[in-house]
Amino acid sequence: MERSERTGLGLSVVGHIGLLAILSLNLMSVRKMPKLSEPMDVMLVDKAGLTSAAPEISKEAPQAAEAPDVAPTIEDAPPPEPAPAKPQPAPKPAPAPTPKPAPKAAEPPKPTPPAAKPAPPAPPAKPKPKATSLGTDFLKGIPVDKSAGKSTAPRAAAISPLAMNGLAALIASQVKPCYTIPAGGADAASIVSKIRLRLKKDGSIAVAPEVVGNLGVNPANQPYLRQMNEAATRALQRCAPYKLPADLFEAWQDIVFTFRPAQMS
Amino acid sequence: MARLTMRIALVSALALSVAACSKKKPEELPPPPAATAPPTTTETPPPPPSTTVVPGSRADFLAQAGTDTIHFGTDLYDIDAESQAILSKQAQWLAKYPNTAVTIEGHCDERGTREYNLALGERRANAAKNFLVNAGVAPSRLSVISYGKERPVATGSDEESWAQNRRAVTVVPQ
Amino acid sequence: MRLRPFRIFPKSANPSPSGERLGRGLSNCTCARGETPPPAPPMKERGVSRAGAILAFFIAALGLSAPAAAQLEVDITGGIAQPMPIAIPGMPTPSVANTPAGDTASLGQRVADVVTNDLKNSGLFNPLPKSALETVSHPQVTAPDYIFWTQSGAQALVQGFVQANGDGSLTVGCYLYDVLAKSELARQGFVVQPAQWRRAAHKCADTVYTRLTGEGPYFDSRVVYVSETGPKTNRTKRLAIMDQDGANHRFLTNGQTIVLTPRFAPNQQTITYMSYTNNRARVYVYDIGSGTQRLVVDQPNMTFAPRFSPDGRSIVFSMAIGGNTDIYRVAASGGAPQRLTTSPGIDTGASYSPDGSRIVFESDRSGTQQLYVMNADGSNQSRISFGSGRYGSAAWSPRGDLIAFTRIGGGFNVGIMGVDGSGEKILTNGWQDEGPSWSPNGRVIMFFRTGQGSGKADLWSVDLTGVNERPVPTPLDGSDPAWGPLLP
Repeated sequence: MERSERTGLGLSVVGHIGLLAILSLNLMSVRKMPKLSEPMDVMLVDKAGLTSAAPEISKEAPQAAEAPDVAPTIEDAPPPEPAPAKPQPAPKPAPAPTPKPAPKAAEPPKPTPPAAKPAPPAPPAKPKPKATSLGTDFLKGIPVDKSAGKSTAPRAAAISPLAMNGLAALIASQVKPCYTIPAGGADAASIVSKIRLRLKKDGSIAVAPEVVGNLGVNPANQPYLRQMNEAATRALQRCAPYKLPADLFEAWQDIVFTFRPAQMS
Repeated sequence: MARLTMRIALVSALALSVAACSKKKPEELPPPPAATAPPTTTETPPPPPSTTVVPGSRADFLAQAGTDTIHFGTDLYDIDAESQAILSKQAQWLAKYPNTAVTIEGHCDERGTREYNLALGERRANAAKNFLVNAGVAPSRLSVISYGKERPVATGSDEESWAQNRRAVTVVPQ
Repeated sequence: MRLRPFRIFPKSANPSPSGERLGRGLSNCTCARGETPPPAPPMKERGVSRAGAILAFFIAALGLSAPAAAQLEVDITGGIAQPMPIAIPGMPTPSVANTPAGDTASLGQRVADVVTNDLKNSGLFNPLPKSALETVSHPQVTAPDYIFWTQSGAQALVQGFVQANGDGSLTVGCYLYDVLAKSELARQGFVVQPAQWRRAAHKCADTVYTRLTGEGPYFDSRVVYVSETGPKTNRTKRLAIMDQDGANHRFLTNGQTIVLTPRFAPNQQTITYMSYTNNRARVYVYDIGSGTQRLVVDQPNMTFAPRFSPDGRSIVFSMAIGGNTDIYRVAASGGAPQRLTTSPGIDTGASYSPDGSRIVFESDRSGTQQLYVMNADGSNQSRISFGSGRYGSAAWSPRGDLIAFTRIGGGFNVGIMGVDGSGEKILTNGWQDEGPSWSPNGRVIMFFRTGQGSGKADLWSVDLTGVNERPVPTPLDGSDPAWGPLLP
């Protein structure tokens, strides 16, 4: 090997070793990464209430809630699919002290959207399996004595827009499978029907659906107005009774539906 | 010497008869020479039928004009060169029999709607009529009718069939 | 012959829940999203005392605050177009009697069958199979067994009865019920001669159809067409007439001469068509009652493609002179024709608008076959077709809003367009679909389809939305259908 080559080789070896040393010994300063804030959940909603739905925290222990007379029905053998958020067995021990109303209100709408649920999958002949999820000492750790508190602060100041949204989606998913329209000519599908429906607490119809308005009617599709309204009314009648959370009854007892046959969701 | 002449004559006779055979198909054997060599052989076309063609009849027309049909291109009604030649011959025949009135039929292929084809057939028939009139035939002898796509001669749904169906037919009474 | 419909125990139309009135007593809240809604309206005072109302107000204020009393709004988008399940059980008879058309009990079943077929073939209804129906007794006809019908899956129910009257006529009653709302929607009764029992069934089907779809009626109508048979090079063509469902079929000519493009007169007493009688192609009018035909235009030239005007007083037709075809109009009773078009091309296939003021026709004056519209006197001719391909065989819808046509490009397809040429839509996809004709309500189009190679033609029909393409049964092959108007 020639001399110059040897020199070059030696220099490069030294250089490499030096670089290695620098890097491994962290002798070069590392730029500080900016601190990221915690990621937070964002939900896009149509409705945003201006009034706060957060509960006012009461300083004293809450009044013990009376268990309702009739145990709310549990979904029988909840179908295996809606594995996320299994519906808590409804008689959640009422004196559960933690006032966490907001999640509770939001919870019931969630598990049911898999729309296969309403009426059919509830075979009436299975009363047994109710208690199997609970052990014999299910009251362990829960104070059975009535709470001494007298606070009557409402569990929620208002039904949150979040809940309203979920509720509207739940109802729509139950009505939509029943909504068929006559295959029309002449843009009958442009006719929008507004139908008012009032329900009883068990989800059945209290007052027959009534048409409260129409949009999109023009001389060409005017002959089909009655039939389009009837199709909307029929949809509501066909899919009754509806499976809706009883504790939100005040919200869904009186509903105005807007049927838009032409619009795809 | 006589034997040579005889041979020459024989050869020439042979040659003659072979020459007569030249029109025949190559596969066929030449007829045996000598006495049994008539001027016509079994391969020539059969003699004409005993009934003769009535002059001025349709058969006569077909024989003399060659064909009663001319053809057209798709959607067209102009008379091309071949059709002109045919129509000229028809005109000549018609001149010979001035008392014969004929009907010219126009036809179309199936690739047009019902009414339009009736009109197009009439155009074709009329074009043939105009040519004949220009060739000297009196118009009063020529009537025109269209059958649209109602009477095809070829039944296929292909170019060849359609080409055959696009036609004008000069119909001479029997 | 006019059927005498009458209302059985006439009653005003049942006020169905679907009124067109705006909401009563409801505030028109035009709140934008996110705004605080106005304060809750006080509870309805119907039957509630004032004190009770005040108390209720306090409870509402205490328990849940104002927003909860607002109505929940739910949007339902995207209806599924689906045939409506409908139950049409056999129609009972109050007392069995014999008639020339059979006994009234079997007639009741046959009437139900005709209604079932009409509704099913319209493509808008899905009649329940016989196994899903229950037998209906005569008292149940006016008091339906809603419990059964609700669980059957039907959304509407058609019931009726057949009764022999003392004078030899029949009364057919027809009732339509909304199964879900449990209410009567319509009722009609018809008095017919036994031989015309099918017309009563068609009228019943029309009553049901119009009430449930909003369309006009069309089942009680007839079709005239050309019945075809024989080899492709020598077809035998005969005029024939039948009910729109194929029943009561009758040949009108014997097939010795070719007949083409028949069309009904509005009063359905006569048919105009083109025939090659005596080796001349000319337009005739055939009288159905007497079975005779008369020449309309006595001209040496070829006349064809005739159609009646909506008032029945004129016939518009095409005449070919010296290679040029134009459209003419003549009084239906005969006379001198009036020329409507003068272009040197082929103008043919004229069809009147339902009000008789305009005519659509085809012309190749631009170089290719296209559609044009003009006034009934021939003025103001303008082209309306500008799509790809050539267009012919135009037929103006009885509703006046659409024109059906044959589009030629590759093969033939039947399509529709607006009267200004807009919104062109192709409805069929056969090899050669041609010659559209509209049902009386402008909803269904009948046409004929020719098979490739075989040249066999058959009648077909299609809904104007393009669905429900189906063959129309005829004893032999068929072409050039013309759908007549609704029978009175």
